[in-house]
Amino acid sequence: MNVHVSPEPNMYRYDEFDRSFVDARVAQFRDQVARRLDGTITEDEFKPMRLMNGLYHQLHAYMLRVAVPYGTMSSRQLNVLADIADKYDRGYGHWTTRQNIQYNWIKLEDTADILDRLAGVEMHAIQTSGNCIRNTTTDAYAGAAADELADPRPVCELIRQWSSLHPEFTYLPRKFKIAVTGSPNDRAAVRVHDIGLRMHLNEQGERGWEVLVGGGQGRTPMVAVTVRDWLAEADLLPYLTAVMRVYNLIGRRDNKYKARIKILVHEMGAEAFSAAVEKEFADAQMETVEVDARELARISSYFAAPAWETLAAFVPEIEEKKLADREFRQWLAANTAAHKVPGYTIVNASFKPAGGIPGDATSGQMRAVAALADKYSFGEVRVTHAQNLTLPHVRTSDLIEVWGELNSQGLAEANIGLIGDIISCPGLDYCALATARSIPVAQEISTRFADIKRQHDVGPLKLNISGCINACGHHHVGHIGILGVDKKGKEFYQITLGGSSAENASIGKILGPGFGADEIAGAVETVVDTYLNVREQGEEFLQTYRHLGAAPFKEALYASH
Amino acid sequence: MPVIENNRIVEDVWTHLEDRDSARDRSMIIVPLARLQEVLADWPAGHRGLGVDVPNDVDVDQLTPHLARFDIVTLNFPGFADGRAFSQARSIRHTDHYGGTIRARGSFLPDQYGFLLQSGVDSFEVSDRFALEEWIRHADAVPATYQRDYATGGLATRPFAEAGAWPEQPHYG
Repeated sequence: MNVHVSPEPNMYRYDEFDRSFVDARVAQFRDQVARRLDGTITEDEFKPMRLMNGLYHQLHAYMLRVAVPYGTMSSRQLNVLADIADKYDRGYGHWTTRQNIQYNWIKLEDTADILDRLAGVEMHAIQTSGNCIRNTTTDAYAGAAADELADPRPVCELIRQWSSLHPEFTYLPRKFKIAVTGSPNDRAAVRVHDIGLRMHLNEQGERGWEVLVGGGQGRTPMVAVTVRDWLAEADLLPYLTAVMRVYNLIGRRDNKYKARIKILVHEMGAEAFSAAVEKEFADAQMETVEVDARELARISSYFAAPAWETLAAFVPEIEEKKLADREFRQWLAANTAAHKVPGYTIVNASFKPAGGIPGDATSGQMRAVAALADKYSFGEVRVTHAQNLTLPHVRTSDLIEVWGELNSQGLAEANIGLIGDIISCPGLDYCALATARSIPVAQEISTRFADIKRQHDVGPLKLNISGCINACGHHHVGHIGILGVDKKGKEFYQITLGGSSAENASIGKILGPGFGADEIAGAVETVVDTYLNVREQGEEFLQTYRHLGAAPFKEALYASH
Repeated sequence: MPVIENNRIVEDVWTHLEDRDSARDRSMIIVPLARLQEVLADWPAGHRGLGVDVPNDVDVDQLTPHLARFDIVTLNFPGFADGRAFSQARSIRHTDHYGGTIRARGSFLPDQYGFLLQSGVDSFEVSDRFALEEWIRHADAVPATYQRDYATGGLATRPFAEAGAWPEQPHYG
């Protein structure tokens, strides 16, 4: 009998030490749950403990958020995520904007068993919530992108280990998110994170890191400021430690909504903040630097390039198919990206079907992508910031088959980076914080724009929807952002325009009065039609907005009101 | 209140100086930070038995010049989720090389005992809510740590392979 064995991708693997660490954390959490259930600890005391293990209490049930460190996973891991969806949830999961997965229908008493199951494939839910350092995120195309300087994931893994159950930084003023990019084209939104790290190369070809601090969304959206243009790689952890210590000591704790590091940086001023960090950095003992460098080298060895073949970049069958088949051509244009190695292509699986729930994945789809990864992508899968999955290393000559198989799973909607590729929070359908529904709005908009040709005519356009001012749906950085608010018991939706989380990040500006639930999709359509009317040749939506400002859009939306 | 040191209940030999109490001719007292200058001015050089109680919202750098004169520094947890004292402890113990006792006071939980030890706290003023065993059990609930230079009390850290086993920046980039 043939037993299918998944290829093991080149990614970080646990050693005995990592394994014992995660096992112990699961046992500790099991004990914490038991003490909560027998009343030894109060709900108030249990809350931060469960949050630090990714367990939220939502409107209808517990939600468990499982970490996919920097969005990289193996097909074996993805299959286990599918099994968990079947056994403990309702047969599906939800990709998050921080490259994790969350399950929305979890029972408290099952959580420790789920964590055990995850630990079996080197996964966990450590610090996916709570006022601690969260899962580090990065470019979903890391290690594959044609435009990257180097693979940022070894540094992400170094940070994952350094931040895991950090004795000093686990009771911070507020949550803390770090994003890393190894490419000048920022697909990791580093400018809207608490800390963003951006790789640069010096004239000698050595890697160094630009350190950005104080970006974020939420109630007070801000773009991060650069506190260090160049940090030697060996100094990364001591420097991050210095930033965290300054924040932990003097970040505000009097008001939950002013407790993120962005407020501290803003109130102190970037210069004073930077000076405080530099002082801490200079004062602290640096004996770990050499250790870190060795650790980074050890970690890096796991991320060796896959066994790429020498292939021709030009594949005649693909070119012929492009000419013959418009749907394939559209899919290729939107859902694939340039790979660093000739003859390979980065392929995205779109979890944004027209009329669907953005980022929802059935267990069947998870298994299908895992099988595709095994067959076509060295067993490797990525979760993207935009709530899709990526097969990072597909042979260009396999694209027709991969397209066909994704199509059969409903995962080939040719809309990546287009208006149908909506980022949305769960909204009032699931979330205890939400003030309005997000999912139905996303569904209505993607239905209206279901015509793929029209989406391609509109071109690159990020539309993000949040169901409350906490901005989990990233509306501040959508080219078009939608914020759902509650106004006297009715849902209203504000439109912002001009946001971006890319290298030229900006916070969107509110266009004018909000729209009712039955008007918002039409209003978006008006914005898009206005853009099509006023754009100059070759101009993308964001460029047109930056070039013309809000006036034509305001005119179109409000003049007749 | 019971005090835990080295995983045992120990006698609390310290007295917190009340607001109006005089420090003159006294010993084994812990002085509020606000009165430190006043007390230090009268404190005979070389005289031991002095401690300081530090609120969690002050910069501990101001203690640095005086640390050698203290036998105990007490740090405060107004609520268990307020983690400032972790960094204060770390700064005093690690950056300033303070070798005396660092005591945690206020509300903190057995689940935080290990992190407190690793941050440099070695004395714990606790309520009678949890038995000693409950505290001790949590010292190494996760018996491994990634933070090599915070590791205390026999916590495991990642063993190093032989030096040179790692090629320089292999396959990176």
